[in-house]
Amino acid sequence: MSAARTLLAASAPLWHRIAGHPFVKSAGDGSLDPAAFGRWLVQDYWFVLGYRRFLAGMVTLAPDWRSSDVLTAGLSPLQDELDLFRREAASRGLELGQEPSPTTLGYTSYLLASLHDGYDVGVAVLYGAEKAYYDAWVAVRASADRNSPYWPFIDNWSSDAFAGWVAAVARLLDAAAPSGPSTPMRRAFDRVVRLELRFWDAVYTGESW
Amino acid sequence: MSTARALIASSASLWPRVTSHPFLRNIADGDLDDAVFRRWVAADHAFNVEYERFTAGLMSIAPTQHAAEVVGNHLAPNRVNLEVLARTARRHKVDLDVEPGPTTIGFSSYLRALLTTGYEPSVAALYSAEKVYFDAWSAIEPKTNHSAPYWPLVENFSSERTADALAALTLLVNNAAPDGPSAAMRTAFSRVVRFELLFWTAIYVGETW
Repeated sequence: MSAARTLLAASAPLWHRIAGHPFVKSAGDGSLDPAAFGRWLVQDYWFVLGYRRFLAGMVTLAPDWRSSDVLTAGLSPLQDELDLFRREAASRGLELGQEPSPTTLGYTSYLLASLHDGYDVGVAVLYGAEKAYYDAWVAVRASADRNSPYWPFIDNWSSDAFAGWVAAVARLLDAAAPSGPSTPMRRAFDRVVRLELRFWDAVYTGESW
Repeated sequence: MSTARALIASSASLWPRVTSHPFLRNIADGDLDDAVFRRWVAADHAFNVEYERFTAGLMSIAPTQHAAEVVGNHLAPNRVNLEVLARTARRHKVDLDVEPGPTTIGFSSYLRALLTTGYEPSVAALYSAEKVYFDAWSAIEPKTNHSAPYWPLVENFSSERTADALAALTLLVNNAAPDGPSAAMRTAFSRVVRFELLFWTAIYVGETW
């Protein structure tokens, strides 16, 4: 079994919680409380800023030019995402510069800190974050209301382009661990999925310091 | 006003929460719940393992040999902390390999991630962590029962050796920013204090993924 599939299999119990999380489901059917959506906009904006630094750090660790090509290609779409956040925040009168919640700060810090653990762990972290996001949004894509204010976000993270990026990261992961994931890779992948779930919990219910 | 004093002043509203946290109050009163004590030993050990890596990372980016030496002087006491925690864990059969809670991972990751932002914010974070810890444990040290299972930890965290290392670190922070702390230093200092409070709360009430 490939490294990516092995990691997914090891975290299978968490995967049900990803696709069935009330934040994702209510965003999909359009019933999400606008206040929770606002919290998500602010926190996810912060997350993408931290994630972008993490991904840039991964480029510096890439073992060869092919890996570097894949990782660098992931950086450009982030500018469009940040612009989308800024437009949406402006139209809702939301302040994006506010202090991140503890969970958001902890999650983005975990991504950045994983760079100290080397490329193999970093690529497991990257795959965990992206696969969780893609699988969550693709689970609600078919039934999502196209007229919902949340559709542009659902569409972005369940698109074919995003699927291609996640698949490319899976190939990087498989190449990094041809004999299967190491224990640190398994632990990092599992933690990222759990941090993602906590991130959604925090924006769904609200969280403060 | 010195940089260290300015940092403390800017987080003054948090300080009463540090010294009056119920976790610390329970320790001083001698009625800390056994389950909380056990969570504390495991979480603090996990935190200190990462804290050691953060401190070593800060040493590696210190701008002068003197700064590297002062930062490095915190490695030995941290090693003693880890040994005291490991001894305590053995004596009370606490499993140190248990997966850390989200707050422990978030807090320790924050410190390690901060290294990517440079020396000044990182040294402000080290100062914050050391200052909070020393002030908190010094406040309860006179009241703590010497026969309590956690006395060796309290004694160690409030020792003269810790005070001396903190005094040298204070000078280092002042020298790092002789004209006063930057915004990044203030943010890092404040976030560490707030993470520390969340860390104690997580231990006190119990926290799961």
